[in-house]
Amino acid sequence: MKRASKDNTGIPLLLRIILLLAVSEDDFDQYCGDLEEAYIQCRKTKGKFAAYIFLVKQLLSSIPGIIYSNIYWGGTMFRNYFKIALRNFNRSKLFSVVNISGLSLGMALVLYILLFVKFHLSFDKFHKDVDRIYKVGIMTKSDRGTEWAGSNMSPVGETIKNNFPQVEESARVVNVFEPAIKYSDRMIKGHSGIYAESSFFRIMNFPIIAGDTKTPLERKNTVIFTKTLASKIFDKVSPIGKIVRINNEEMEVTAVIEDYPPDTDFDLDLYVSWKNAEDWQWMGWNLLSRATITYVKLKDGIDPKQFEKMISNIPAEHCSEEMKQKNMEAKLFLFPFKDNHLYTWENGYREGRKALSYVYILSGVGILILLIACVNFMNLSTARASLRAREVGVRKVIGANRRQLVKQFMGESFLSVIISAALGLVLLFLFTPYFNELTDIKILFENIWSSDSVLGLCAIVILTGLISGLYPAFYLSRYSPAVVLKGETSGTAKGVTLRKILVITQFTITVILMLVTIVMFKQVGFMKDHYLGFDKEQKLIIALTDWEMITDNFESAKNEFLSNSSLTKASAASGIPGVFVNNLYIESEIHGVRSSNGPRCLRCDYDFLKLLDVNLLAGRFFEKERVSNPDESGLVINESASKMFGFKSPDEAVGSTVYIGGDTSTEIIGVTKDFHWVGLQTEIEPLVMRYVPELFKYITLQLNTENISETMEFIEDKYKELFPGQVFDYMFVDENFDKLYREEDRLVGLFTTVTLLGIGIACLGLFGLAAFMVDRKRKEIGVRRVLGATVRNIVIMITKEYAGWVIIANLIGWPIGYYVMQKWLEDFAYRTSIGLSIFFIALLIGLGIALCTVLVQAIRAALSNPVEALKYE
Amino acid sequence: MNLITRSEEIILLIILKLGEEAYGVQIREQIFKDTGDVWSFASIYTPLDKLTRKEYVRKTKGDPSPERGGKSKFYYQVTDDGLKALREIQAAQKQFWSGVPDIQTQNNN
Repeated sequence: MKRASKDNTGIPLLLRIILLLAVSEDDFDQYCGDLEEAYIQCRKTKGKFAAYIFLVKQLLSSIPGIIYSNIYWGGTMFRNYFKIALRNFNRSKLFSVVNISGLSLGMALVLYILLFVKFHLSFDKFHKDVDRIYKVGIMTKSDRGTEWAGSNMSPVGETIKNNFPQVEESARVVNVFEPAIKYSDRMIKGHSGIYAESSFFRIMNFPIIAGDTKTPLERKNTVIFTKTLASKIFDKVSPIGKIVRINNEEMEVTAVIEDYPPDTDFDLDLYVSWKNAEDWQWMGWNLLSRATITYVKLKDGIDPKQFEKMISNIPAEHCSEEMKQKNMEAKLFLFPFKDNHLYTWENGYREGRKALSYVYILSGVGILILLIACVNFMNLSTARASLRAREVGVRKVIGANRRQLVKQFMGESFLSVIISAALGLVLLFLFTPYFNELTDIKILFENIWSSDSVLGLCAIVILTGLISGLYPAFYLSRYSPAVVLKGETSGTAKGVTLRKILVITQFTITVILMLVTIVMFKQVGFMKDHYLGFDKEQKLIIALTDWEMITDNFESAKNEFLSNSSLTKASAASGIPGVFVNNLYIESEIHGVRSSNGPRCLRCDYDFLKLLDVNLLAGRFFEKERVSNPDESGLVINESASKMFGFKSPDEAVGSTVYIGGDTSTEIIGVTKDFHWVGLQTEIEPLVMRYVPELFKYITLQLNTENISETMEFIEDKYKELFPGQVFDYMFVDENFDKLYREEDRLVGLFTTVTLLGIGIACLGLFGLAAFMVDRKRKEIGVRRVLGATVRNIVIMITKEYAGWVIIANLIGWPIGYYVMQKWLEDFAYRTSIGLSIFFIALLIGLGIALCTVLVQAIRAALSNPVEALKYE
Repeated sequence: MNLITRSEEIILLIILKLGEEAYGVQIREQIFKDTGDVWSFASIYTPLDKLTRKEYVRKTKGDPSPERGGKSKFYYQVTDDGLKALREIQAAQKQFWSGVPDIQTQNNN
């Protein structure tokens, strides 16, 4: 510590550190010593302050020189590195192509995923003060358990708004419906609408571009259209003030809103005034009708947690009687609107929606694919290290230190990565539409140029460069010149082991991806082929929007259709298979004890069961002669409903009385076998069927397979004759059902693409590695051939190793894949068994592809003339 | 002909002049005494560095001294090559000046 005490009067530590970093160790003593001497001199003569100034001046005056020499020498070395890198690319074209194509494919995928994630995270963020917007939900506890709902009783919004000054604005919307819009003899269908308050447009940022911007929905019978729908109905005429008929009610168009941006979940085409919904019977304080979605915007600075506590007991204040009677508990809660797209509160806690799982799945998969590409790079670089060993040796002899060499090789990998990123951008541009189809969202390629995407791109490039370049750089720069230049350039055993591990990792990833894809294929096929409990083939559905048209004459309409011999069965109903039908509140009574139930309810006529080809377990179905009004016609239920109501057997159910809505007593006349009303993702739900002609909306026809086009013509003609002024609109039950699996189809498509990409990149790497290995073994192969090995021996010798790797990768990948898919399948009520066979399929595909890749190289090597390989010895 | 630069020339001459005591601080002070200009250390080290690489000067490590915080002085000595370079530039100077009219008395205005 002798020196330290002397240092007290010396130059500041900071300067010392700067010097230490700037100059080599040898020079440090001299420079620091000189400076110190001059500094002390200066301090003695001119004082401490002047001495400091002196030091700073010295420091600053050296900067131009440093910069100059850095640029000059740095530039010279950079030119050299760049030249060598390009020469290396050029010398080994195959490896460069393998590296860069793999990396650019991976890059393109990751960049797409970057845009995808960004897109989903940006949802609904464009609303002003979105942080202050909340949805008011309700939590109920009863003997049916705890339920959380995002929709509420309709007076809740108004009550909150009137009693709490913390609320800046509240808005309610209710009842999404499918409007039949009629304007000057034209009928427009296939859109969706909702009943809303004007304040909805003050909370949400859906700008009103024409008409009344302040109070568009204040009067009854007013309606707002989106720009697209408005121009569809009115063409170029201004829609404001025009009268249209919506579901047979005359309404005035008061405003037009801008079309929605892509990053919102709203897709409603029209908004009808809340006043039209207000006098509906069920729009009161009634815990059973919680259909209104209530938005509130809190004032700035209000703590949502505290506010939630204040409002949570509102249901108790207004529905105390009902709660007591039904032994229920109900509380309001808030959930942030900004999380609406990715999360749901339906189970009481923040739970990810499908979009979020997509974000996770895709990000994970993207990283894996890029990792496969990085591994290619690492493997090929280290495998070929011996080729660069001499260069390293010479550079070291000339005076390069390790740091410089690491820099050089890192620079080379960054060069590859940057070229790949550029190519990846081109690929992204080309494939964005294709990926968009797979994910069913509209992502614009141009979004990649936004500042945060560019930042993300840079981060990806740097990360990829580091991952793929760091190890090879250290590996390559390690060579000792003495050893290398003597000519001993064989790769070390350590490098080989690592390479094996890396290849096995690559193949493990591809095996997992393969397993996932195969299981998905299997599950989707299973769902599509599974017998639904009824016959879905050759059934055509005609939708009718003017319900009254069918209420009285559905019978004659059916007969008209059935007059054609190609149409064998016909029935009218309120719903169609594949689409959920509404719930109905029913109280059942067993031994005098009542219990509440909410089965799904379908309204249909007496031919429906025959049409679907479903069997009865007990009792009878509706009979044409015995149906009168809905309450006296009785109720047909399915097996699940019978269990739900608490009956021990179907026979017990028949003849029992249940109470619709809690008061109207109805007799159960029959129990049917269970059948799937919707897709196999969901369990078969309890279903009750009633005969209510007022609610019939569809006519379903059973077609003969012969003369389809003729029959279709007949149906269309008949339709126009029977329902003049209506647009002929039809669909097929089986097609409708297949649509239910669109989400799964999409996932399968996505995974197939990604898996193929992964396998492709991994094989590229394997191809390169095998080519190199075979090249290195040329002499060995030559000697073996001379000593009598057959071509077969040689091919087996070479491929054996790679086959081993693939098998190990499979063994590792199987349990992981099994676990992942087990989890995925849990979401489905009816699922395929994973089975043993898929593991062998994965193994066979993996082995097949890997061996094909290697075999090409192996055969080429085995067939080559040994003389060629050995003549230089 | 490959001549040394002016700053290199000045430094070589000063090293010769200083003899045994030629190290960074002294060189800088001597430059100040002779020219009246304050040179930064950086502007001394750069030519010194170049001279060392060209082997016109030789650097030797001296004893550590307390006024330098215990660090050694590094003394410079002009080598034979350095002397040769000085002789060359001196000859060149002479050549340049020969035949030039007497600038002390001449007046071009």
